[in-house]
Amino acid sequence: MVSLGETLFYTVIVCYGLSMILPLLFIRNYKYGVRTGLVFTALASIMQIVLAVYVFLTNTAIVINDLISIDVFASYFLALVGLAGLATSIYGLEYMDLYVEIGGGWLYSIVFAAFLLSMTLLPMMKDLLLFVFFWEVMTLTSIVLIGWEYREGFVVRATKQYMFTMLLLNSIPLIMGTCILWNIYGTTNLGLLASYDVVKNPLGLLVVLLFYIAFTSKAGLFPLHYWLPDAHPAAPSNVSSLLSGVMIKMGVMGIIVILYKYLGLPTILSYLLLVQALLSIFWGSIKAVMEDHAKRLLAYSSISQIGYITAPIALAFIASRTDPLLASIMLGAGLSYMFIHSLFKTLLFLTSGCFLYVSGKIMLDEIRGMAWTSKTLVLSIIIAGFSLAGIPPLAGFMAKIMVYGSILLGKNIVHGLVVAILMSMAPLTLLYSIKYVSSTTSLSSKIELGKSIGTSMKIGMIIPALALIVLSIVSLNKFFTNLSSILLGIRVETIIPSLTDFFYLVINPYIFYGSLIVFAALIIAVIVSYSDYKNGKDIISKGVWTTGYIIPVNKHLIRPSYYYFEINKALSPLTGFFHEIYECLVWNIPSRIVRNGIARRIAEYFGRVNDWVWRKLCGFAEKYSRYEEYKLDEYAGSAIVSIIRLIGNIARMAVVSPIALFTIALFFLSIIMLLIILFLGGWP
Amino acid sequence: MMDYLVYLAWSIILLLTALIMAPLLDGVRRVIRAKVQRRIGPPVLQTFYDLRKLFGLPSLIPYRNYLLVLVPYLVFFVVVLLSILVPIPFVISPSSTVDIISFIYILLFASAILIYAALIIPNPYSNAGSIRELLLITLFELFVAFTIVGLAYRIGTLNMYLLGIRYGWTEYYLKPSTLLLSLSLLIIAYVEGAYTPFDIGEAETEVLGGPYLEYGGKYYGLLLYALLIKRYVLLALPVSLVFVSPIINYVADIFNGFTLMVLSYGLFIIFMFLTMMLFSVIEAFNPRYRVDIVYKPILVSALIPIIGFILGWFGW
Repeated sequence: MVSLGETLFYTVIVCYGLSMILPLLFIRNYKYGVRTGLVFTALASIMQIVLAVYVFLTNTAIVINDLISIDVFASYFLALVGLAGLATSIYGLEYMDLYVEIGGGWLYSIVFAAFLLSMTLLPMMKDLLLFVFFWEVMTLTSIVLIGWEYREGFVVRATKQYMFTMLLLNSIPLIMGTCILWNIYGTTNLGLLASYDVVKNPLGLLVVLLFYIAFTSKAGLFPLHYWLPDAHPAAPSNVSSLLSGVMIKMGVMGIIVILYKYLGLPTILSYLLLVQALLSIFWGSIKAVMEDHAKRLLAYSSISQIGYITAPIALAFIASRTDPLLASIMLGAGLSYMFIHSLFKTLLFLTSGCFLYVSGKIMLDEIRGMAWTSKTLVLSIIIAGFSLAGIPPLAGFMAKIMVYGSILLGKNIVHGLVVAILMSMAPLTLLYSIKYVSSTTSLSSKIELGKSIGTSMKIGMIIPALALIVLSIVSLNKFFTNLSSILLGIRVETIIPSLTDFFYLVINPYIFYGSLIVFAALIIAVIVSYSDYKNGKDIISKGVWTTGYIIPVNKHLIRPSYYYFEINKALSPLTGFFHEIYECLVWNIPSRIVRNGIARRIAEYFGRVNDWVWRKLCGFAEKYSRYEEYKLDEYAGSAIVSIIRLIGNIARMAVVSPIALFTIALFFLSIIMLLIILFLGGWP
Repeated sequence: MMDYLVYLAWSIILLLTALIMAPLLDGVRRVIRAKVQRRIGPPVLQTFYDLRKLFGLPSLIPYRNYLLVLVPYLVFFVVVLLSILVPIPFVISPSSTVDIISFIYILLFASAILIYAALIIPNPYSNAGSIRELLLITLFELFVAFTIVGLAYRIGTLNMYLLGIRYGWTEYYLKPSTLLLSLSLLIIAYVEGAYTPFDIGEAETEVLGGPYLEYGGKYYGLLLYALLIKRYVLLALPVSLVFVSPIINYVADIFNGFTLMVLSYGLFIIFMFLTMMLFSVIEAFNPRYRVDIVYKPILVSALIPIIGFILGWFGW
């Protein structure tokens, strides 16, 4: 007998499977290829949100087999990935028309679905080997997606940097760590590993350290964040949304689940995490303030926001030994911030994609005032941007207050200092979010673009915007605290607070009244001003005051890139110094090794062999595709010809873009892995 | 039931107090400043006359855009509603429902929304003014943050109502850390209230204009009124904590209930005027800072709450 939960889980998997397989029918047609895939990923996302809600309501883990079980914490990530996946999939239906020239719509669908699927399955894994496998699938698919626009120089550079970093700091440490654990304990089952005291073993400690490096580099925490501001803007915007909205959270998830829950995190590493979080906030904020490229600004903002997420989590780890209740409140604050950040960062990247879509421009100076092409876009930008700045009554404000309040509950001087630092960094967030919001929604000029935003793009933006509005009315703080107390092992009867005391538990009164005042003011102001605006007898609008100048005022406006000139001037020596160091470490030295050493010769040799094989294969396919009419049997022949043709197409794609090679490998790997998972525990 | 009525009555009284006191305090400020500078100066009610005239005029905005109409109303109503959260000791008002962090953030919201509305208007002067104001907020946040954290560690609560009562307790009040925090609260009211050396955004003296530049008539009246109420709210925080709370705690045993509330309210009004006089005298002796000159004094002055916070943690 299959339970409802299991049915839902298999439906999600089947939907993702279909979104990988069905696009293969449309290899020649780019648009159909993309759209079939994205429709099914959207379906899968909806199903996974339903699944998450189901788990929350029943409050029981769904055990699929020994390797996979969906507990409440996994459901939290299911919901997070589901919401972002739904928004980005729907948004992509029309947005991906931008990349028609690159081609390979089917390929995009496959990789996109594999990327989402890997992130969906990661938190459910109860086995380290499978965890690492899906982690690698996530990394590889993200490489393909970041390098999608492979003809652009900056994209190639960003992809190479990302690939190199992830290989060195993610794949190698994770695989090495898993091997060491296997060697010592003879198992990779996380439940079993938790029963051994891994940290007490010196080799185990090494493994924890390796994993720590892998997860913090994926999360984009300070010293290992350098790949992020290049990689996130390089991808298509709906993928950037997923990278910033979801993928970096997987690093935090790894720290919480694998390190804290199963392997054990030494206190010193918790303190290191805290320091890294604070440095990330500082560095990400000032770089974002100095940035003029819209998507890079948002990417730097992700670095700073991940600091806001990890700071309370690190403090929770430190406090968990002495005061589990306090720890659960802090962890809850971190989780709540993570969820809300995921929503508004997804939305912000989607809005930045609209400017690329309508004009192909992305520098803040060039996209000034362009948001007025659509009112949905303006509203989305205001909601998401002000959430980012933590302006009441929006969800970002709730999350920020929750973080401060929860940390202040700990009466230690460290807690006080951390809150003071977090609060004094907060206006930097205001600086860069206002820079993005005000420059894009500026009333400066009416630009005729000739192209407007598609309906699906609007719907894609409305989904996270609505979620943000709901979350700013209904605070889920109590829910997140319950979630974290379950995670920390403090018993909580039900994860959903009971309906009788709904008002006092779900809506946190402490924060609620503050928001209520702003809400009340907003409602009164909207009513009064709207009647004013509609009547409009008393309103005179004569354009701006130009001090008598004849030159149009647009000519001598302050450009967004000069908004914070003083700050740029003061901080550029510092940022320049770090930039030089990073450039040398991650780019110059490795590329010199590759260029001059034996590695280059090996690479060349392999390249030549590869070329030869593919040339033969292509020729073979072409030869047969030309004799389409030459069949032995009507049906059998056509099938063979189709298959050969398919291989030929794949081969040609592979020669055109090396990323296709990755994809094909990945596709088959994912399929095999899926089959293994489904059949290992016994198909129902 | 009676409790709720008292609650409601005080909310309305506080609201009306804010609406009347804010222009009146500004009038006092203008009179005192004129006296110190040996000018004749306007009458005390001049600000009322100004506002009445502004509300009678047609509104002038650069474009017929809904955002530009919404913002003056929004800023005004937010600060007006914020005024019922003023923590006058023992006065039962909605101040018991919010904490000081939300309070400061909502004040910041009023500034941020105004800055946003001024930045989207394509006028270099109004943009420049907004950016100056934004930079001031950013720099000053270090000061504000350490003051709030210092309060949390010294007094042990962030709830506005409890802060109002507990601040004057003798075990807290006469300690070096509390004195430093009191000074910090006064400085916050002065700097965030944009009194003269710190009126960087508006730069009235140079007729340069800032965020308010492109608004005329009724909408300018609303924004001006909002600024005055914001100053009132900012001033009310240190006045009730630093001046009213110790005195009212001293007599809390003698009087009870309603009398105590009225006494507290009366003291609050008196000290509002006295503090505003102090502020106007300071203002009269100062020219305006330029934004790049203001960096250093603001950052260095953050040492006051930082030292207060550290002393508070050691219990001094």
